[in-house]
Amino acid sequence: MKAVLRLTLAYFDVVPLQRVLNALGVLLLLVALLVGFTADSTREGQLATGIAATGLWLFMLTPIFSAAVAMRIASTRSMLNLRPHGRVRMLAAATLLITLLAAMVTMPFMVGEWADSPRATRIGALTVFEIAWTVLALGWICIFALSRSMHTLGLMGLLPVLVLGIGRSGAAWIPEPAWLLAIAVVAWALFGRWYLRAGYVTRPVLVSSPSMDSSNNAPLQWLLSILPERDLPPSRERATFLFLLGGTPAFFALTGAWMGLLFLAIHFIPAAIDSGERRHSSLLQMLPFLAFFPAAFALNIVRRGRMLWLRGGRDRGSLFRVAELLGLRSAVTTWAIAAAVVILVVLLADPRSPGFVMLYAAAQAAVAVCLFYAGLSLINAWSVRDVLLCVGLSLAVIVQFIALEPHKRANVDIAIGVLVIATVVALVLRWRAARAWARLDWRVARLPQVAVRTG
Amino acid sequence: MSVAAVTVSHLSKSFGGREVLRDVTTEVHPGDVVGVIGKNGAGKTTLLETLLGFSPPSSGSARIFGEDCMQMSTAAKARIGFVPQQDELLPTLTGYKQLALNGCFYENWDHALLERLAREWEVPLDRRSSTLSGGERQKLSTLIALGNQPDLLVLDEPVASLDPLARRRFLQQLLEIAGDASRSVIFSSHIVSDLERVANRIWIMRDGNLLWDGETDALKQSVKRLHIRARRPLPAQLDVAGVLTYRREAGDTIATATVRDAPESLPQQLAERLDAQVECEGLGLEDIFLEIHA
Repeated sequence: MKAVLRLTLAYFDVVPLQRVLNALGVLLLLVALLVGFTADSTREGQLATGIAATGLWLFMLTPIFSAAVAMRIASTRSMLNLRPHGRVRMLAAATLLITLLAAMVTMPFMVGEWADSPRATRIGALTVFEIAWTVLALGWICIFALSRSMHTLGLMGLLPVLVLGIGRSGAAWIPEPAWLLAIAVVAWALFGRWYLRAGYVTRPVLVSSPSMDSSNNAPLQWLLSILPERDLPPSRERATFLFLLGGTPAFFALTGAWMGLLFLAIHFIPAAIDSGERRHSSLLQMLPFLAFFPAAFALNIVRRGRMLWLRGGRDRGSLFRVAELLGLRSAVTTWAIAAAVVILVVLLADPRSPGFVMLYAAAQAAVAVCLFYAGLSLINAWSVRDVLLCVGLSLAVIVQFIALEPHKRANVDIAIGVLVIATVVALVLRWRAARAWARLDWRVARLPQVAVRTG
Repeated sequence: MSVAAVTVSHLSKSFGGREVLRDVTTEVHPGDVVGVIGKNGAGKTTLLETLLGFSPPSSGSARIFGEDCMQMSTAAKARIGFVPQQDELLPTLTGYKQLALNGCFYENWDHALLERLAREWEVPLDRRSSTLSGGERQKLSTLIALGNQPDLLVLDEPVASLDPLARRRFLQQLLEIAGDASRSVIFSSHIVSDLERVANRIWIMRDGNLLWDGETDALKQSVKRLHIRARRPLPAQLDVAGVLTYRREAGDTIATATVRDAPESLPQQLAERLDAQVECEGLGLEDIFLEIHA
């Protein structure tokens, strides 16, 4: 039991980055308490709940997205040869962790019920727990499965979109939330049965080398390994592109098309069921998710830049400019093609307000560029400042995602505001990135490393 | 005296308050083949990558061909070949493509030499590097580093994945190509016997300090093991300058001490002072390394 508890706690600390997030989470919870105690209006109460929810989210971020990968690492043969009973404990710890996370999600709603707030009458704490447990358990299984290979791992970013899409449409088909929980428990039991009986668990794909293609994060990475090499004469420009970005221009265009098609596929499942004004606008709401691709892409460019330090003969300033030029061009290509697919379908289905759709897309493009520069400026091995920047920008993306409400087609002012603010922030981040690259330390700049503990 | 290929002066490097290189000062001249040894985390890779400019020094300086490592010109960089610990091969490209792409960056790229070496080292250039074994990837990385006929070749654990036979042949050929009097080679390895065989200078790293920097033979000359056999119990500590280790056994009348830079008369002095029989033994590099880290 002690080992199970230790394992459960270890999931909250599985990457060093999480320590900073935990500290931030505690800080936000304290702020929420302070705001809650002094609140004398419903609006202030809601603010306190919002801050508390953000704090809890920071606590849960790593366990939700990394714990299943850590479980896969710890389940490989080399690890379990040392701990033959590890799997039972790890499965028990995973179950406990999912329950704990679901309870954490439920907590604000329980407080709401106790306080008898109007929001609590809409959705009960028990229902929230059932939905949260279901999403977490199924998400765990999906991430565990996706982390098996580089080809499937690229699809992980689409999971939240898939959850939103299926969740929205699936709600109409499930009579009681308890059914959801029942389905999740059965799925978890089947997963557990397989996990305990499987003779061999494959080591997960983790980015460990700077030469791993940046397209690790892109769904079409597998194309690079199966397509025959194009017999283009090698040139310095082509070599620079490949070393820095890990793919050809055509590859990034294909990635954009693939993402657009995936968004359509995900969208048409709920859209077939849903009706009314939200039907196609929900497709437009996928654009904010696209902004995270340039961020991850830029983060990888920082690491890959070391391959050109000696080869290219460039100094760090010149290297930054090349990374910016080629990286932005490729990221924008991918983003624009995926966005074009989305915009085209939205306008064909509902051509009422093309102006707003284009404005919305322009605002999201600015957000994507902003996140690209954020990625380029993250060179400090996830220092407190880097983590704060990530958390702040993620929150900003979520806030504008909620505030813009594309189905209303009326939030023109907000869209213009997002466009202007994102452009200004992008310029500031570009300045930060350029400064950071002048002292870039490639022994420090790296992606978060998973610290494995098996109890 | 020839111009130094590498000049390191009071170089220190810290990561988040933890000092991983401490006041390292050394030089590498043409003709030097420097072997770097040290335990995991001793600072070998940090030293190599800092002096090549991948990581800015916290204090002190490193100069390559007279230029600051962080501000090296294109010409200076073109004279360097580097094999990093984690290879930087593009996984989806064949060996031929990797060589051709790397060749685009250099004017003096020697395709013929690389193709000959690839045949001799049995590197399958027609396969994608993602399908190569660890040893084959290391050999391909080394081929790429040799392509520009570097005046300074830096190899970080270049033979870790090779079997003993391949390792010996590989290192021998590597030194035939890169180890002439006009070039310098720095390579780190955990395999001390390899270093002993090919390096004419040794850097021993411990906890970020450059503990030894000198000729391999001088190191062997300077470190001796003393076997002491006395009639009465020996003291708990040996009051002699340069003692690396001192162990008593069998009722404290037998002891073994390893000393560094000891005068030739030390065995005789100890024999008289301790009323003991003292025998002096020369050590191999591996034993010296173990004694230093004991």
